[in-house]
Amino acid sequence: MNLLESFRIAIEGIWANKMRSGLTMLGIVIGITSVIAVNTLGQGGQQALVNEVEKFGATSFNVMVDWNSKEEFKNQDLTVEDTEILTKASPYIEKMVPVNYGSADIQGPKKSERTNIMATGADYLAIQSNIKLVKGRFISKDDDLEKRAVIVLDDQAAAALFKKQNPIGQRVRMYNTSVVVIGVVKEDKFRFDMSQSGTAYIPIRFDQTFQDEPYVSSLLGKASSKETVELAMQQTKNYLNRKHNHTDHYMVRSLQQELSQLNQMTDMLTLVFSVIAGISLFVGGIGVMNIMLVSVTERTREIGIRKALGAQRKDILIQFLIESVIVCLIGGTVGVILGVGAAAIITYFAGLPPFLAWDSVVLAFGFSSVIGIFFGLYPANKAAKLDPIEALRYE
Amino acid sequence: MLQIEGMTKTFVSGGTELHILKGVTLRVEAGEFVAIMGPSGSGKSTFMNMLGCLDRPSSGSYQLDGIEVTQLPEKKLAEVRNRKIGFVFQAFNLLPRSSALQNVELPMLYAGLGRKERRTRALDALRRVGLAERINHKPPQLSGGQKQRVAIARALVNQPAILLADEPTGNLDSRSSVEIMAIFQELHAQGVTIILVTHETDIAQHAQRIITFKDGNILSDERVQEPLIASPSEEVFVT
Repeated sequence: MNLLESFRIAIEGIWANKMRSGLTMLGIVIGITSVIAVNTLGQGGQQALVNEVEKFGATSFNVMVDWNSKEEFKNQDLTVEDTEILTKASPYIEKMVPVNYGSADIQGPKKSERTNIMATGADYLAIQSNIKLVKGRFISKDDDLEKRAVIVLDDQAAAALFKKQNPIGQRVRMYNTSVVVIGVVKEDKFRFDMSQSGTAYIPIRFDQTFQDEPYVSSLLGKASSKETVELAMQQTKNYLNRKHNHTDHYMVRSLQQELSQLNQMTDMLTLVFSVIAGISLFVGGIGVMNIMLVSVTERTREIGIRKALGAQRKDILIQFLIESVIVCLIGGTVGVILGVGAAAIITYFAGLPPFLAWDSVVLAFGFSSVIGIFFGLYPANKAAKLDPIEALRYE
Repeated sequence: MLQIEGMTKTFVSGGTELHILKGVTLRVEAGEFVAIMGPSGSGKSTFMNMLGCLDRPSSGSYQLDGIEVTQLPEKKLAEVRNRKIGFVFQAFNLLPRSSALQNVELPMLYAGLGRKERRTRALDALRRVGLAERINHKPPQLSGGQKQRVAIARALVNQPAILLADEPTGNLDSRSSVEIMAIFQELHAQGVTIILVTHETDIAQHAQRIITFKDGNILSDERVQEPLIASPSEEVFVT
């Protein structure tokens, strides 16, 4: 008997029990939907992370004092001068700026607003490619050297303090000092950055005038190329340890390193969810087996007739196997559509770029056929082995 | 055509051996119309299963159309059932969801015939039993007599060596029974070998030869001097 006829017979069998076949498919649909959705989201999320990192500077790296260091902590472990020397001396470091993070209340013309303060140097914009100047100018070298009381606001802080007014040239108060707004920047925020408050940038040497003993909390560097990131990081580490009489006092990290850690985490999460989704798929498969067993019992007489008319064991086996594979494939198709749809909706609302995990779609189809064969084999074999005399007598 | 020698069948049930067939020897020539009779428990149903290659004897030989079938593997046996034997059952045994045409096509499906040929031959077989008008009806839409005629068409369609009919009129009223017997007689006249199991004497009288079973053996094997001629009141087209 040819395969086409087997398909026709199988589809007739499924169609004759629409409700039951539909419910059986539901188990597969739910399983495949969750597998696809989980994988698409997982992979899509990772892809988005990679894209972000590419955009935010795959070449940038961060230097801090290692909090786990056993060596003595000093306020001068990192200095503004370190960045200048390193930039000049190392062929692998294109630019480097000192950074102090903090927050302060900034008093605008109408209201006061809690704002993140980032004290840094003139090259900060050149390293953080996601921040763009919109109005005025950024902190200059001279601003920094002369410790000028100037401030650059991001669009969020500017909007909060000045509403629709032009903030350039206006004065605001922070640290009980009057400072002049010289520019506005717009930050293309890291997609996974959930912070709500705005940020203001001030020259780091100006910031240090408010400190009893001037300090720098971290350095931000940019390597000359992706390939030299590791070298730049190593050189920075060596230089700092030597310069400040330490042996291993610093922690240098690149965005890429953090990305790989994050990737490990999302991989783990995806795996856990995939296992759960896989279990639901397995349960769906058991449902298929259950229904196929019922179907074989119900159709015992039909099997007897077919055998009496000359059906071989393999004809009966294939008939039932195809039936269970079709049930699983239809369930798989619906599941893929729903899974891709669900993932698309979630990525849309989460603001992630659309992503389709083709490999998991292909895998899902393969997997549902395998489930159909695996869970259909036992019932189909049972049918194929029926004794025609017994089967014909069955009421 | 059909040669059986010393056929026995023993079932073991609860530790005791039941000898259902006790060495049956029988020869049926091509073109014969044989009726097998006997009370229930006489072994005639088991014998029928043996003839239809649905079961294997415990010992003895069975040659069908020159093939020794007792030693054939399962796969070959299915082929023999498909090509050499046409079954007609008391309970019709049609597939309820398939049309008359599809039911008749079924044996040819397992014989691996092409779609066109299946259709032509199925239509032809249905015409032979007078059901050309009802090819697309499904069994529940057909009367008992019509169902049995579909079953006969299905049995004939692979041009089998023998047509085995097990109580074919058992579920039919007398008028339909006569119609079915008329078809059998017509097929017999065309040269089809028919073996019919029945417990009704008047049905058996339509055959040429009556074999009576008792206690697993052939009790008698007689020629029918003047077979009854089935003449249905309604005309049945057997061409």
